[in-house]
Amino acid sequence: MNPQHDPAFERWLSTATEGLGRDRAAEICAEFADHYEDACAAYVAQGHSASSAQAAALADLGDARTVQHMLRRVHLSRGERLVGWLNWLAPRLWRHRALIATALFGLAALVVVVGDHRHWISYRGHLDPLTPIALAFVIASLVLERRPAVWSYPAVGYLLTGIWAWLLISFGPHMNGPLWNILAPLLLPPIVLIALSVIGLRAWRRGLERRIPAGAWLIVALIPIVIAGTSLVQLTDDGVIFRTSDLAGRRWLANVPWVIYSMAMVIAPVAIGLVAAARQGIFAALIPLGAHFALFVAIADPTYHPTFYDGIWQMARTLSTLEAIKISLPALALFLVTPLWMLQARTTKERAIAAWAPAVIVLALANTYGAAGLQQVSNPGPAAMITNTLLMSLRALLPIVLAVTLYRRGPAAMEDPSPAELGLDVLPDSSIRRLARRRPT
Amino acid sequence: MNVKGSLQLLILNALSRGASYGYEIAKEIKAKSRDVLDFQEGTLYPTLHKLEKEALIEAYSAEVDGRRRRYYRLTQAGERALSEERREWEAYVGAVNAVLKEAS
Repeated sequence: MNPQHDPAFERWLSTATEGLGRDRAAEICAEFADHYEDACAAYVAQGHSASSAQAAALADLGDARTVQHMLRRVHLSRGERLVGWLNWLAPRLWRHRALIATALFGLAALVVVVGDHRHWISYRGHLDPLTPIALAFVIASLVLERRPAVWSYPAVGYLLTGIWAWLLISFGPHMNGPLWNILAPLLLPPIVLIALSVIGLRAWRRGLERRIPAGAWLIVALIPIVIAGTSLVQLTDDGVIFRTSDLAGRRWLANVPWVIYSMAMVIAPVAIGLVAAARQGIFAALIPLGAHFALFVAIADPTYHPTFYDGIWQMARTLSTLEAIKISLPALALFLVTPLWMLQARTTKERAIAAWAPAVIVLALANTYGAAGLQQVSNPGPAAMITNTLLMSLRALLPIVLAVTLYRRGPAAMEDPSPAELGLDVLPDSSIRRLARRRPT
Repeated sequence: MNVKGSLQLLILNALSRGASYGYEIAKEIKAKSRDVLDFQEGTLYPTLHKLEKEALIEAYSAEVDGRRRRYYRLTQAGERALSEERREWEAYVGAVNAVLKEAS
């Protein structure tokens, strides 16, 4: 009987001698093999079958991990043990890189957003502390995996949101001039984002096996209606007022550029994510979602831009703490809760829910809380709060719905990439998840 | 009964009767204790290697009945260590017995 051909014993040997030098491990393996062979022969002589003798001999050897620990203490110096431990740890960290990187980036976002939310939302004109961190994640991803890895998506999404702010920097420090307030916000983001979205849509269409779902067109049609609606609704101390006077005559034409611009802000981030989504699945929704929240909800929020309102062009309103909270909370959901939820999602459906649920919950809460601050109303009343919450949440959710609708109907690779492929084989089916799936009999 | 802590003494004692190899040492300890002393046989080897590093035993290869095995034998330092450990063990057992007798 050759003990080396017993798979259970080979596994035991491999575990027991793991981390020792090759020569030392070979010597020790030979010694254990002799022992095992003697033990098997003794059990067979006592009347055991070959397989039962092997099982008994293996049980006598005891726990391989205990032996491994003892052998390492004898044969390795403290430094070698440390290196061995790092060797053991490194592949495990690498296997769980998606979770670790996402959690680290989420933690960094949490610290930056909570610690300095005003800075974070101040047009990103400054180099905020999270930008170099995000850059480090993206560079690490390109160097280590030679592609934008899934675990770098939150960072990629964050950097994407800074594109237009970086472009503005090149226009000089005069942040209050007409260039800053009108030309740059209105033209530069759409130009950059639409260029990227055209590339995205082309790449996505090439792999598309089915037609674009009717639901997607419906959502696209809803976008201008909702955007126009947010311009027409105003909260006052007395409740909700619909400014229908802005629709009279040709006044409505004045808001057309703004509506088109806003549509671009909604559709473009979704389209940008399609390239990555085609390769990496719905997880790529982080990019459009990130771009959406920061570009549309935060930076390009209608309250900060010149809109034709109440018969005249009006400028942005002041920043308030409430506004900061309204932006920070969705940002936290986006950069921390959503990625972690997505990482443990196993199917497209679960990832879609992961993309939706935190955003929906947080947006509803944040918009309810932020309604009064946004409209500078001291006592808006429940009807006004509800109207504002619904409109703002709907506007913010449209790109999420569009992204999920399109991604789910994309090329086959978009449907269910293997978790291992994505570096997402993080959490094995835990008992909780198994329990959740178990149906009552 | 677990032999943790006393395995070293048991191994040195087993080798005091002559050179032996791992499996034989394990069987001898179990047989002589009538299977009362039990231990994971895999842990015998790290202990043997530790004793070898401390120069209390030495290893050599020998071919017996057509099989090449790694044998261990006691060194002079090992004999001294065995006497010392035996004395300590007997003192320990004597002290525990004395306490137990007094208690009963």
